[in-house]
Amino acid sequence: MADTLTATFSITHPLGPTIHSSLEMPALRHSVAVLLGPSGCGKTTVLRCLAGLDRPDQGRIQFANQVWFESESKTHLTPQQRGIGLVFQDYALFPHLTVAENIAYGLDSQPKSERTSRVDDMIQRFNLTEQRDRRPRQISGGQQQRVALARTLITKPRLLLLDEPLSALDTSLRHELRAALHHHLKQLDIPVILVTHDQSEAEILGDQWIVMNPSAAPRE
Amino acid sequence: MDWQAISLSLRLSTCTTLILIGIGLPLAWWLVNTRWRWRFFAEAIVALPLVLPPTVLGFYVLMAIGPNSPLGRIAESVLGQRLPFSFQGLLIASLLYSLPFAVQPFMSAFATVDRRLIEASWCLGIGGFGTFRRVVLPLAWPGVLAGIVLCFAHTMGEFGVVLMVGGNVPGVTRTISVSIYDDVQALNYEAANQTALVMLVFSFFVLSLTYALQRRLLQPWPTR
Repeated sequence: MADTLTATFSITHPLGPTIHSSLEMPALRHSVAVLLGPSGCGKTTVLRCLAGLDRPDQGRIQFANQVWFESESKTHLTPQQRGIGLVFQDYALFPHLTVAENIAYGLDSQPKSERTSRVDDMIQRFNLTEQRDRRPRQISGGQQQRVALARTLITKPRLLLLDEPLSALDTSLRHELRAALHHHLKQLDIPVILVTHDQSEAEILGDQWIVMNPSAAPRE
Repeated sequence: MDWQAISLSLRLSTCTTLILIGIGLPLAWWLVNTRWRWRFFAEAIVALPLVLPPTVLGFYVLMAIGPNSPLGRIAESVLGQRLPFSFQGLLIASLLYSLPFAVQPFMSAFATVDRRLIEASWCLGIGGFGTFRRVVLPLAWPGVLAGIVLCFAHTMGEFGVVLMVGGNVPGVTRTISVSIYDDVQALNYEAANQTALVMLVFSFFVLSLTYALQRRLLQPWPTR
């Protein structure tokens, strides 16, 4: 049986609108749910609340049988406690670390031998062998995206969140990399939630679609 | 040349800088990140030594560590000596006086670190201290280094606070600036000039080294 993600909450930014989320969806393995909506409607905020980076004003977020946030009981799990993986819009790669060091970053507690073998596996899987000793600014946008994915997946998250994963790329590269990203996401054994404002991108990458309307209430 | 004063100033600056690295880094990190509504109050306290005349700060420190104050009595029972006109008293005064010269550059350096990198680290399962050590400190390092050097150099040149709290005890509280002042008062310009020249060359060397190191350390990657 699939785990269920329930996210019913509201959050108000100091200088922005109030965003209401009323979301209940099966988080299926090998499945990509796309949160689709126009720019500025609060998609990223919803994703940040799911990741534990922003704290809703009130409501409840639950994944499987673990409560991540509940305003009544003042429960708020940190991103580390939620065990999620988040790929940022511009990838947020650590500029002072090489590709291999970026990928190994989350494996701090693992023995060195295991860390090395898992990093090598990821580097091969994402075809980054030639780039392994380069720094993020020395590689292309597409390669940066693969490093960000590899860095997140190596920590074996329970749920993968992607914030506009193609928007940092130029148009031609974006079209080219859609299929590659789709291929990588379909291979994953974890549920994926992806945010985008691009409808064609949503159609190619997604299996389930959640449309966020201008009044900022995502509904399945 | 007053080598004893030079040695004492170096010792005082080293102790002050090392302690302020330990206090200043977490304090600056907290000030940059806290959402506490009274944060401005804490910032004002940290910055006070920048605007207070050294004699005012020295006077209050002297009162606070004097034998009639609770702190002074505790220190006397623990250390077996009074804090005023001692090296320990001088160190307390230097810590307060140099605090903003360490904390403010640290804060500026931390503020330049892209928030998303910190959040990315959290989302990869790394806690607050690990993120600080592995992401924040390496990226903020040039600014942190500037704070360390500024703190050291500022303590080397202290005068007013030193005189108020430490007086002029050779080998205990007589620092370079007090020594130069003494020589000038005694019309011994040659001795004053020699010590002052050492200070000038030393300060110039330290600042040049800092700028050179900063240029070398300055990352070839954007921090924002």
